[in-house]
Amino acid sequence: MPDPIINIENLSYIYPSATRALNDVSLKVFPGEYLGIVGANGAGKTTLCMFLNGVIPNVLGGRVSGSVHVCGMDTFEHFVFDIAQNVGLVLQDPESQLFSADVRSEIAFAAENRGVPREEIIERMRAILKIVRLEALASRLSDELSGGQKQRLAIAANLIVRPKILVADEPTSQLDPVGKEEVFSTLSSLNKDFGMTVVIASHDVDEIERYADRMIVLDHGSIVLEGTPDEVFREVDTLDRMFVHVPDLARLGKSINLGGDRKLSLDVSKAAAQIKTWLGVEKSTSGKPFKEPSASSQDAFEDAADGNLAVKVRNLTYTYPGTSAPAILNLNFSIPKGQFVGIIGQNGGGKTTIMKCLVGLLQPSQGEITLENMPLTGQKVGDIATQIGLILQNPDTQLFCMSVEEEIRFGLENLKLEPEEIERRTEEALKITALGEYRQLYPFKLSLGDRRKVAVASIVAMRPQILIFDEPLTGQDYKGRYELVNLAAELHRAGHTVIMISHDMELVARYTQRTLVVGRGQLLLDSPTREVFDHITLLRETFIEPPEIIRLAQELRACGLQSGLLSIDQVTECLQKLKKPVSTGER
Amino acid sequence: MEALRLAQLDSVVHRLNPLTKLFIMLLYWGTALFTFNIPVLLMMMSLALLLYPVAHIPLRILRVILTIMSAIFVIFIVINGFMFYGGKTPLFYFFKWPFTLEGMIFGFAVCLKILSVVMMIPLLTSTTTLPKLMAGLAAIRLPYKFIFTFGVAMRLVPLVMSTYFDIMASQRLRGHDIAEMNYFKRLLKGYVPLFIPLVLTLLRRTADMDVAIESRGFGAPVERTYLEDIRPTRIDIVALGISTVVFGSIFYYLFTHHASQMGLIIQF
Repeated sequence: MPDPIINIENLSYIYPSATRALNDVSLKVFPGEYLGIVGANGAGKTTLCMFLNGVIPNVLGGRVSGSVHVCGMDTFEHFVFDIAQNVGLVLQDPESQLFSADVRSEIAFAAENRGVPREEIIERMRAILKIVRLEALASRLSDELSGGQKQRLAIAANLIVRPKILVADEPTSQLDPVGKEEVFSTLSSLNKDFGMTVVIASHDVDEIERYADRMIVLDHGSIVLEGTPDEVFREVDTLDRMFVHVPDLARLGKSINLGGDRKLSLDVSKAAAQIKTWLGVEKSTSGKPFKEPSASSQDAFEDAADGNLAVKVRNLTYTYPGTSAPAILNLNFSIPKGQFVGIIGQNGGGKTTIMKCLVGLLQPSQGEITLENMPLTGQKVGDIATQIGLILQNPDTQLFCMSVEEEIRFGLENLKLEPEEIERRTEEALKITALGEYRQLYPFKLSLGDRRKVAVASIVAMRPQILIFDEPLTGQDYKGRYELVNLAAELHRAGHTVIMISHDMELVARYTQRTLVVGRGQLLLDSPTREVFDHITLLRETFIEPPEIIRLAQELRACGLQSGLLSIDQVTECLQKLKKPVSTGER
Repeated sequence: MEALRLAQLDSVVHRLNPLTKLFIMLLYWGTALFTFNIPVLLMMMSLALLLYPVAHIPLRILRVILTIMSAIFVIFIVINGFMFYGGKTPLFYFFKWPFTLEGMIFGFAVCLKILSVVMMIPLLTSTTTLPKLMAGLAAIRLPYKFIFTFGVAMRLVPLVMSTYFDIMASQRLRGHDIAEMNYFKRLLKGYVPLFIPLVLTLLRRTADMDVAIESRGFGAPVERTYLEDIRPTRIDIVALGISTVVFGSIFYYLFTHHASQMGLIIQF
């Protein structure tokens, strides 16, 4: 076995703020390996990544014990600029790590700092642009790139000094499905085609399962599980305790017993074949094979009485100033009161524009929006906010008060309500969001998940009947995302109409009753959620992949699985019903 | 942001060495600041204006400059009209104070000086990419840390703007609309909910940026190289020649015809 390229021994670390981040971590990574790091927010993933290129302890300080050797260098004894020649680091936020005006100068920066001759920089750049597939965008400004392109640019900017290791800290947490795929396939190519050692911290377990050779699970600063993804993801109960997302098929494999030591594959096609064998239906079919239905974007509630509708959109078109092509064109849809609706689609497809028109931040170029039978035209954004509330993906763009309580009161005071009413509504919002114990705390001391809840509370207190959650899962771990979406579900049960814009198909499948698919500025599909994932071709056009469990259920339709199964529990129940007669010889 | 985009285009002005452009701009500014001669100032402004279409700079940029500065120009003309020490020809009286023709002309000349200085700026910033400008500044031996800070600040402008607009939108959703407030209410209550999230968000981002900059070997103890090639070409020599002749002629004219008035020349 070769010497490890990364050798961490008994590493413990406490931040200058006295937060203990790592606890006796020992880890060896070998040349050419692809290592995945998973764990809840605060488990120590980012800290571990920053140790690998010496940013900790060289830049951030803190108390440290143990040792970290990377490419034979003791990272505590070398400057970051020396370690950076061997280790590239890609961070979470695409905006924060690009500081040059254009693509070429961003890529060249690290090599210029190392004094690489100009001609050689040009030569290296040509090769790197090809690897990260940005050749066509070489002369663009950094701001003109999409999120996925920006992260690939950040990767390229690290590759210019030819590092042996690339460390990526949640590089896809702020990207749409297209961006995620772009980044993961680039990292995979660097690993497989160029033998680069890749270390990636991520919440995207499906991709870790697909690409990583080995993975570790961190919990409260310690490594609690280590092995191949196939081995680690079998530990469903342990992962659940640590709030780590478990791939659908691993969870299903725990629910059904294939017999003997056989384990359900984590690959959808292989798992489907195993289940067919288990059911004894490899050749004969007892159900209808899966067939894609024809797509319709017609408004299913066109004829509904206006009094029953929360939102009615007619011929909505919006063109941004200075552009000729409309961002959204001639949209028609209605949302009845009390519905939980998902809006999905690729970034740039028009979701955000629709949302901004609904809350009055943009005035439609054409068409009309009616909220609870009241036309939006001529109303102020603040007044509209009492009918429809928008919870933005980044809560930090609104928090400015010294306490959670004051933050909730802010919107109510702007509505010029009586002090008693403000008090009543503040208490109510604190109760709904379970933030009572934090009421006096400075919002920025809270976790991202709790800051999001403060944002929800401050909107809910204004008592809008309709609530829009814009990408509520961005940057959230497994626990955080369920907390917020469960809150949305509770508000829905309390009678609110809820619209959720999301890239997370699992949550859309689990919570929403109806889904609108938006792409190229148009409404491509309007369908009950249980049917929407059958439109595979249309979803692929917008780069959406149905959750694994739904893809498996589709492959097993020919075996008798009914359509419209969306959850692991539903699929398990159905499979067990199908298995029962065969095993007892009743069929 | 628009300046960054325009700088990506191509023209004779774009192809000039940033140091050549900087030198010509300094010559122009020096001349404009030296003279009060209105015909000379108008001629220089015409020259600059002629370069706008050559450099693909839209004339609406000039309109924006004029709109922003018009209030200042009115103030200058009014103040000088009443206060100019050499005023002899009253045009009208405000109570007992005379508004003089000489004062008005002097104020107008000051406005032309300011305008000619400002309208030269886009000819540098909208035709020179930031990396080229930074390489140019490095060539005149400015410390790299200063140049890098300037470059990052320029890069951050669009980021700050987009963050500010996001914050403004999220506060409008809670009924805080600064556009509906009067001047005093804005000062008292309007900006706090906008600037606190802006500062905190930017602080967090700059902390991340610091990590990214360190991780790319910033500060390594080696002589830095530059991707941008800013060696002078034939166009630079021609441009330097033409501008030396033009500005030399202007100075010659000013010194030979108006030297007795020590540069303070107000003539038609």
